[in-house]
Amino acid sequence: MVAAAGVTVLFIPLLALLLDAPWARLADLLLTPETVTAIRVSLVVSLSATVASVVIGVPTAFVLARHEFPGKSLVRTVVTVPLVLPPVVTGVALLSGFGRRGLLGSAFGVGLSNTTVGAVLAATLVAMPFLILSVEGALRSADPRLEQQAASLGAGPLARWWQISLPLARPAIVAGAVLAWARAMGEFGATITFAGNIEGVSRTLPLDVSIALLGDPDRALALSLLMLTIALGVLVALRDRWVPRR
Amino acid sequence: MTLSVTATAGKAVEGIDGRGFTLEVAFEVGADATVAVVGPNGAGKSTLINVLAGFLPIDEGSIRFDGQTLDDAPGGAFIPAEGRPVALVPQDGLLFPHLSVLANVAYGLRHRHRHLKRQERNERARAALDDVALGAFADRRPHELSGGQAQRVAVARALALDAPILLLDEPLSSIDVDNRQLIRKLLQERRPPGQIQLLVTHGPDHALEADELLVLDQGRLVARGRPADLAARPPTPWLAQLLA
Repeated sequence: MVAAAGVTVLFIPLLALLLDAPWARLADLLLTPETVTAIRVSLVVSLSATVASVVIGVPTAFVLARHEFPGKSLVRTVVTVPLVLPPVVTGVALLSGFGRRGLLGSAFGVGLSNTTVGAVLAATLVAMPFLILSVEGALRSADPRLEQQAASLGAGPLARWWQISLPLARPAIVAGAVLAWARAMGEFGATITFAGNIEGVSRTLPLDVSIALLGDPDRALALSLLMLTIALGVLVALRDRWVPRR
Repeated sequence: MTLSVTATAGKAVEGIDGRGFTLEVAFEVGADATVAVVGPNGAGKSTLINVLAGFLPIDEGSIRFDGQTLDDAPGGAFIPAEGRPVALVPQDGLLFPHLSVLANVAYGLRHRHRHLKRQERNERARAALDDVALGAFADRRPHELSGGQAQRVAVARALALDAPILLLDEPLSSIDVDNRQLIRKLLQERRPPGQIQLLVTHGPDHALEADELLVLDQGRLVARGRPADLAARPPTPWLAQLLA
């Protein structure tokens, strides 16, 4: 009973979104210049953040899974804290670090606030933990004796990493990257705090929704529908990873 | 081509019963010898394999082969697994699950025999698979093989390297009776000149075929000698039972 009521409550807003959506004008609304620009910014920012997450996150996950070193728990905390931190706090922290008047900004005279690079940085910070947790988990459950065996067959540390560990972790890397991308697509709080809400620069789809909601609610609904579709697509793509097919 | 081992190792390894465990052995093995290492569970057989393969550095002593120092605890010299003249058949095959059977066998050739062209590598790997009667499985994935078949592939993968030292950790444990004879024969016939074979086994017939038996118990070498001599006057009750 409780479950049925709970599911209904969760379902109502999604159903309402579908009922409310301006289906007849959908194509027009999604093709307005503002929307197209927001889609472009969103894709650039989220894909860049995904690439950055993979490039930084995969080696980080390897180090966390395989090596013991002083300060390891600190590193793990730092890279995963954005998962539980309110995104706006991440944004404020980014301002303090990389803003024009921030720690590095005032030292080098450049700031990343209100730039596309800043938006990528914000999205990377909130998205990367998903990738790191996914890859680290896979590496921990992998059999370390396979790497030993590769060593015994003459493969050096780099060859073992590239030819054995990395391919074995590939499903987790792909799943983690898709999750990270989805999280980056939806990022709002850290982006608006650090990178602002500038059309063509940092106004991603979620930020554009907040703007549209004030003046053109139909456009907001159309954008929301678009993001719902993307989210469902991600879930379908990853379903087999969480719910093994019988 | 003598392998000489004087080693204390495994201080950091937890014994099978959770208590501390130390392997402390000293022996020499000459060229062309087949040595069978036997002993009850927890005797240190796997630790010895790990030490010789280069997976576990020794705490004291040294391991030398053919004038080369593989591990020298006081001197600090340590050649890691990838640099040792050693091939290993692990207990449960340990094939790489993402590579085909052929690529598994060719993997060692790719790293240990770098001068070989890809085609030569694959030809040698195919021949090694034919030797273990699995030529037809070259394009399969490891998960499509039975445990015994995987173990035979592991034998092919190690033999293909023609390594001066071949370590075998219970290489026949999952192989069916019909193929055991094939593998045992192959290990004798396919060995390159001078190869030392060090074999951990629980099978009395395989142990009796060896040139020499090393009997381990609780990390110590408690007896060594020709199998026939040890069978005639078993120095420990455990060995008497094994060879009975």
